[in-house]
Amino acid sequence: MADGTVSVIPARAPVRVAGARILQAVLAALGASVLVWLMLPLAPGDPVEMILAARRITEPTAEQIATLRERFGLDLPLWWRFVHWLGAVLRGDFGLSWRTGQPVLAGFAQRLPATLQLVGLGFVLSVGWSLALALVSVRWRGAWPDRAVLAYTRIAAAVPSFVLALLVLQFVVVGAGFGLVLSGGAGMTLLLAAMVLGLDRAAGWTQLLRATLLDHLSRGPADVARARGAGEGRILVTYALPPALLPYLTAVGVSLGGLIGGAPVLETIFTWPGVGQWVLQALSVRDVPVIQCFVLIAALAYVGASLLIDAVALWLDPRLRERTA
Amino acid sequence: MTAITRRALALALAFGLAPGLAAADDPAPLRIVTSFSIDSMNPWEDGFWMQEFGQAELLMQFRDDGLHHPWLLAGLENPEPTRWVMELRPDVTFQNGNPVDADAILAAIAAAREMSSSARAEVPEDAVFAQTGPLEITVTTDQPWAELPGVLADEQIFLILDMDTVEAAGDDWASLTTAGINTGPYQVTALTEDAMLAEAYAGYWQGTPALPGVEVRFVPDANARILAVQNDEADLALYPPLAAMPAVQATPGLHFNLGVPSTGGYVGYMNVSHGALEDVAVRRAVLRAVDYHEIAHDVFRDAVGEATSFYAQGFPWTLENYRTDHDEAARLLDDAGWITGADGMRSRDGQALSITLAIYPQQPDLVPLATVLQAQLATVGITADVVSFDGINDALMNPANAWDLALLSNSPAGWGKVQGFLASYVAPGARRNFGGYDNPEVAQIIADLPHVTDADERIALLHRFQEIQQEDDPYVFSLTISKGRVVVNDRYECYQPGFTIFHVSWQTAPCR
Repeated sequence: MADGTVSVIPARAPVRVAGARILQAVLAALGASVLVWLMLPLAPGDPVEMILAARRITEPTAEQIATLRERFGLDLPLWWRFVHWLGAVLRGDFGLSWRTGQPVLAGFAQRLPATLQLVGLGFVLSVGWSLALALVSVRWRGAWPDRAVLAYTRIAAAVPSFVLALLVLQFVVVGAGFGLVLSGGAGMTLLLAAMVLGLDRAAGWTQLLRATLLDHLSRGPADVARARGAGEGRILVTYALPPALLPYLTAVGVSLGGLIGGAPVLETIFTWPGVGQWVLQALSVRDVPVIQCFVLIAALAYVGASLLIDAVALWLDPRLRERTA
Repeated sequence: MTAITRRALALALAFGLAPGLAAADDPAPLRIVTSFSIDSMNPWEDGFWMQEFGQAELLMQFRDDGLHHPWLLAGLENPEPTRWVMELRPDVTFQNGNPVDADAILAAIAAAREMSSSARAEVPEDAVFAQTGPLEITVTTDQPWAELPGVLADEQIFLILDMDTVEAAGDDWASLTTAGINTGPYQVTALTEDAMLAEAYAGYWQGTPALPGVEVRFVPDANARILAVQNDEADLALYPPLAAMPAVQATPGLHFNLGVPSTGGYVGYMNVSHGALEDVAVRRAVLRAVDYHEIAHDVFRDAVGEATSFYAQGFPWTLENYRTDHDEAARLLDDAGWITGADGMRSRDGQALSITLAIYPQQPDLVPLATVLQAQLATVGITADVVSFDGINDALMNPANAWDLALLSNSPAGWGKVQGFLASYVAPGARRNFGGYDNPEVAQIIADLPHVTDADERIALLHRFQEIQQEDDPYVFSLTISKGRVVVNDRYECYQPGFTIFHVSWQTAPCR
């Protein structure tokens, strides 16, 4: 350190932080589950009739309804159903899908890789895209690259991702012949869907990083470097980017949920065989076991990803480590 | 299904080929995209859809002439009110080669009665099915069973399966995928969460299937289904939304084909328990104010049939008694004391003649329908506002919700059976008698119908029901008659949507 003292970071601090965050993750997942359990019965419509309608039984008999109601446990009190479900989940049993009768966890595991591919690629693209655009925009501030980036961020922020997806499907896939409408897991479809997902997220992240970079370029360290004759590119990368990454990473972490949440609609539009499309179908017919499994795993994944972002932030900024210590 | 098989299937689909189906001189397999998925081969919960795509068959088939025709049966006679005689076809086999004889059919029926809640609901408990000849099964009941032909034509009740093989499989439904348990022209070869593949069954009893196979992809998104046809990844897109019709018709290489008027449509239910429609004169005036022609031709651009009757035109029991007559509507309202005010709207004793239309978001076409109804009712001085309920069935039965005229998509004659709808929606105290309708004569008709097997007598009863609904004590009426619809490519330009969701027959083939 500049004053000659040495900051000692307790070795157990990051472990304690991680432990606290994992506990938070479990509590968040539990809270989300309770919330969904409490809210689903408030939604209008009878889930049994919805499930039967999904099986094309639109005029069910009283016996058909009673049979399914008993099979789903809907004749039991809500709290009992929740306790029963939670007990089963703790044993690793997420039950059977009401719609398909298939084990929920197996269905989830089968579709998860496709969703991870889409969200993962979308995340990489959006981070890479926003970093590149923000740096280009700031480096040539006021010139046409800056104006083009600003125009992109405004348009992307205004156009919902599902509209962009429909346009891509119509003009890129059908019009220009890139990829397939019925993806079947095809690579080109993955790329197009991930680009749409990434472009949507990247717009906001680009704006934030650009503003933060400009702020840091006008601060002391950048001025000192400039006085010493450093080039603008070097100042941007060496003195402005590292501190600007911290709020950027925070924003990325916070809006990671949006990235995960945006996937189901895009999976449906691009017929990508992921969890999201499956969950949307489950939502439309109130397939509670599938919805609950998704909520639980999505909450855990979201908090896990936030934990990862925190770890990266700790690694990037020594001041945070000191604060944590 | 193993991962390897699934990957092979995915590859086959990606290249537009089904394993073992591609032959240089044959037409390509028919590629269908549909919204519903077939989740398993479980015949009691999922497998019954397979009659729609040419895999399975039923004993009877309901056709657009309003009659039930023998399908796997050679004939069905009703020599006495309490006795039906089924004549079986000789030399029919399941796709695995096992014979479809009396034993096999009786086994399929017995299993359905045990396993299928639909069968239990519709088959009288005292019904006895017994073999009475080498190719003959007799059905006897204590009371006449009028709807047996419809029950035999209902895919959710008596699908004919090779029960020896089904029972041997236990709960391992996946093992039935290639077991040839059905009798149809196309045998299932693969079933995943995304698609079903079927190849032609060479031993099919009616002749050689026209196609080498059928591929059915399950695609929930309607836009993706239409684009799949446009991108030549599919030949037929089922269940396209009506709103897509103009865009499809304007796209080269795409065709929006419509079928004949079918067994359902948008049905109006009047709340006769309270509000303006308690007054029978107002109900009759509403029926005269509705311009069914405008709804079908101008609002829905002929994508639905015009309701000239409660049931589809052409069914033997249909009574074409709908008419639009604004003068008569005005007279009815005048006579009932509803006086037209300066603004053209009516009132009585200071009470405005105003009704609430109930619709639901799952049927977006109800929005234009409700809008045009508002305009049509206004022409006779009735104010109408619109309210949308999610979970419409529950909402309409909830006394806390105010509504006067509910618009629902229903099928009053599914599979040619009328009894189920009347018993559920119209009978006094029925589970879905939304409006609290209670007409003793209608109740008697509903009670009598299940046991009236004489065709003329049934028609007379149903005509009387339709008369009451239009002229005497209205409660339920059709606003449109639905038509099947499908988006097809040029190869299948001449394809007509199947009646009662029967999409693929052994003769289905490209037009060019």
